[in-house]
Amino acid sequence: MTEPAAEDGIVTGKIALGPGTIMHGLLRDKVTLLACFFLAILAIVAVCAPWITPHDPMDQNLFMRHKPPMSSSDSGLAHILGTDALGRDLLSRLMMGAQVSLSIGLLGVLVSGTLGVTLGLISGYYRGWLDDIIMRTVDVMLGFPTLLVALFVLFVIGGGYVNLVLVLALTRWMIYARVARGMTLSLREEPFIEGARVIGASDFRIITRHLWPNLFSPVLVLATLEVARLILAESALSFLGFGIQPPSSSWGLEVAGGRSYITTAWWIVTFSGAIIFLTALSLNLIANWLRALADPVQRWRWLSGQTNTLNNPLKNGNDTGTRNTD
Amino acid sequence: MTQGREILIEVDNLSVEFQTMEGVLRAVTNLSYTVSEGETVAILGESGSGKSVSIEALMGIIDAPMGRITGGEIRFRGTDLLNMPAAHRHRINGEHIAMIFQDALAALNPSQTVGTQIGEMFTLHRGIGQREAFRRAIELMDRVRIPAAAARAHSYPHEFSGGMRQRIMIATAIALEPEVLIADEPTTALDVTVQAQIMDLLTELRIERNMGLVLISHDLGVVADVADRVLVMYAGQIMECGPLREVYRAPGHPYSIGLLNSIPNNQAPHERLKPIKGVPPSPVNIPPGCPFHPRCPSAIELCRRVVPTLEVLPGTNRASACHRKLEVLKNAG
Amino acid sequence: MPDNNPASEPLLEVQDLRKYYSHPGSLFSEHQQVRAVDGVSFKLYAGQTLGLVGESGCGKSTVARTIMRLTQATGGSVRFSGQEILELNRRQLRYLRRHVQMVFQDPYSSLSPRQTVRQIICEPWEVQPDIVAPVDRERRFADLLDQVGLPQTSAGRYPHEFSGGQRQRIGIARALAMEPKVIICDEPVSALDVSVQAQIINLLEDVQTMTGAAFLFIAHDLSVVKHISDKIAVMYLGKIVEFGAAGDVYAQPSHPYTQALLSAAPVPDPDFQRRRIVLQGDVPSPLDPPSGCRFRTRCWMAQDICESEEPAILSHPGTMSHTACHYAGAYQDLMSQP
Repeated sequence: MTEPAAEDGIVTGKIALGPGTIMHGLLRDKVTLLACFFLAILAIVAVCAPWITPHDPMDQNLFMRHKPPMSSSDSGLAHILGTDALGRDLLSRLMMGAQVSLSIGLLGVLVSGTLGVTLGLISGYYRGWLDDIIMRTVDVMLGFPTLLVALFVLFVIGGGYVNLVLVLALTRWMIYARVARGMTLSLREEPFIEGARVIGASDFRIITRHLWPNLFSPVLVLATLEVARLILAESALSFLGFGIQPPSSSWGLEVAGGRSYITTAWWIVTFSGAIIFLTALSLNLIANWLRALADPVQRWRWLSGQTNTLNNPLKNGNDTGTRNTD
Repeated sequence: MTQGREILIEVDNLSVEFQTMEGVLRAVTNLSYTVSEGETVAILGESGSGKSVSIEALMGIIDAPMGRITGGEIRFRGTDLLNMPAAHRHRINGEHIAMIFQDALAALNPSQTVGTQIGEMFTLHRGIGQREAFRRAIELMDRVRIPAAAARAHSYPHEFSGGMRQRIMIATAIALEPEVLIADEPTTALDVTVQAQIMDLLTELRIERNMGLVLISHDLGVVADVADRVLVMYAGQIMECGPLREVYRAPGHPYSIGLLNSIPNNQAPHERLKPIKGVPPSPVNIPPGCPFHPRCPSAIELCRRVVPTLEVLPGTNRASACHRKLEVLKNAG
Repeated sequence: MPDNNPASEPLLEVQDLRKYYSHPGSLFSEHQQVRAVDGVSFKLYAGQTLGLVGESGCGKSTVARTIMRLTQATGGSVRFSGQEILELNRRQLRYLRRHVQMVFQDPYSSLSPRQTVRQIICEPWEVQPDIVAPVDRERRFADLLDQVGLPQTSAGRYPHEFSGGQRQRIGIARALAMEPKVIICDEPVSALDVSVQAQIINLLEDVQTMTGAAFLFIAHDLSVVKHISDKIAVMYLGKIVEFGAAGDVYAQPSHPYTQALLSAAPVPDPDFQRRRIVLQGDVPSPLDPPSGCRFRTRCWMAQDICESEEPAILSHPGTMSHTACHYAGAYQDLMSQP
């Protein structure tokens, strides 16, 4: 009775974001691919750290203090990155530190992200006085310098893992709230949200089933950047003595330990600092890549490896107009 | 065929392609038509028909490097446009060929007064001073019937209604007295009463200045009002072309017939419309042979394999790209 | 108030519906009101289609949204099967949603981009579980896909994989999932290609035949409205200016605005000679509508009485529809004016 729509009428020129696209995308951008590998290895190391460290990270040996990289040791395995002030193998310390630093980054983002996105969603959806209160709180809290506030609070309540995660989370939730609120404000006017209301969906359902899934991509990008930020913050706080306390190791602590010996035992500060830097860089690269992938237009440009160099646009763009990158 | 009028634009076997992730997008294939002085040519098509892309090729604004012209020529007064040096090409736009768009608000600069924007045509292209340019802008605004032009020239685009903004865009387009005016869906976003005024204005201007007018539209009614000749496009190709009356009264292509049957027009109320089954193909996936064959009620085996050429129907001024055009014509007429 | 079918009870009865928006005053102007809908009344019967026509800013979409309780009415009454719906609280609103549904204009933004077709169409049953028992849902879902002409393989796909016309079918299927008695169509085909419009119009007519639902069909395309509607109401600046059977209003429009509107509509017939009525001026600002008859500032027949007295919508002798004009019926004389 009704004319059916054609089977094959799938029409769009858009590229859907599927595993195929992601793989294809990664393969085109070697640098981001490298960053992914690096982080993957780091993650594996962090998880398996207690079992795969070449030496016992807690094993102090005052005869072996400040040994340069590739020094031999009693147990046969060389100290690949050297030893610290107490003779402990630096590589092993850094591997244990990976566990600490990465988990703080992830946990911190999880807590601050959940808190921030929830408040942002509520704020943007309901508006009115609730929105005002939440946003004024955001404004006030953003007025404080993050690190100083963290320092002060940690000074008062003491350092340590749990406190550190909480404090870092509480100083960063506002970023997510702003982003979530902004997107919610624009999305809530879209017809498909009205469509959900029209079938009688509750506010909770609209927020969780209709708004949140559309927020996911930008929040993911933000979260990735925030992991980097938190790792850096943790390093700074531990360096200053307010974060992770010895004998646990964190990358920041290692840097602190080597501070006085930069000229004599340069490897401590160098390698600890390098790992922090590389991790943050990798996360930033991946965040950038995720952002490009999430935007359909940019996705196209970026995946076909073409840029906007304009010759005579009327001529065949075949010759010099398009560059084949990488 | 229009006699005694100079041919301004000749599009000859134009083909345009875009590179996409999903493959080659054939936006326009073997398109040919002419536009003469004082005539209105309407390009009629739905989305994906390639009508807008063909105009972008004409204006030289195809989105490179994704898109490129893969064949054919475009000539203005006999001069090849495609191989023209860029600087010279840019002068043709605005001075000889001008264009107005569907969305006037997006096409106008929100931070400049309309008088300045219209005046820019004079200051940039003719080197005329600002004061004189502004004065001429007011004259133009008067011509396109914007009330209280002198005062309103100092206003900003957002302070005008949709219809008024279209008039401003028209004023800018005709400022340098172009020989060809291209209107890409100029009234789609406007109310019916305003639409009528704008189309009247365009026709008036065309007659007054003996311009060639190219109208891109999907609206059969608007085309019927103003066009002299019609090109029906589908999936980047011409299906049928010819004088307006003939194409509408006795269409020679199943697609044209289907289109005319799709619109509610003097059927008995609630009598079922006869839509064309299926949907227009994605330009990345144009069916082989005649692109319309999957949806065509008259399709035969030949249509699946061989692309029909645009051929003149004997004894008429029309051409149709259909293997069965003679039968189609007989049945419809 | 115009009545169209005295034999049965109206399914939807709208009386003097009003929606005003507050325009906050600034340093230079006082607090003002935009009277988007200013006293609209009509009745809708089962199996019938009422077309609501007008240009942008006339308030037709606002009427739809107010009835759907997407926005709060300022005054008036809307009754569904005798039940007043403007005052329903949130819980009671679900009762309304069950029976009054909506199809939206833009197929590209009216479906949730992250939901599959199955999730979109079946969501109404999760929200209101008593419509269809869980055991029957899969079969009912397959039926709905058939009913709107979508292939069964659509179920797991996402909206962006479909064309505009197909997305509208999805939207219609979702509205049908509620098994409503009234469907409000807000410009359902305006964003579609011509050839696809016809498919969707036919689909809507089929739906009406099969379900017996009443349609409120809002559009600006006059030929489409005429084709699908039984009755038509023409709106201008928040008020209905003419109301009657579709054929009558088109053949013999009695309100000057309707006449102007019809004369402006493009007709796909190259030989049709149009007597175009060109309206003077612009649509007045809804912040400050003209006193008396709102159309008088652009009307070629306007007299003093039009300024002082607002015409009620009445049946005038010599006309076939109800018109809000002091001079309706003077049609014959006036059509000879330039």
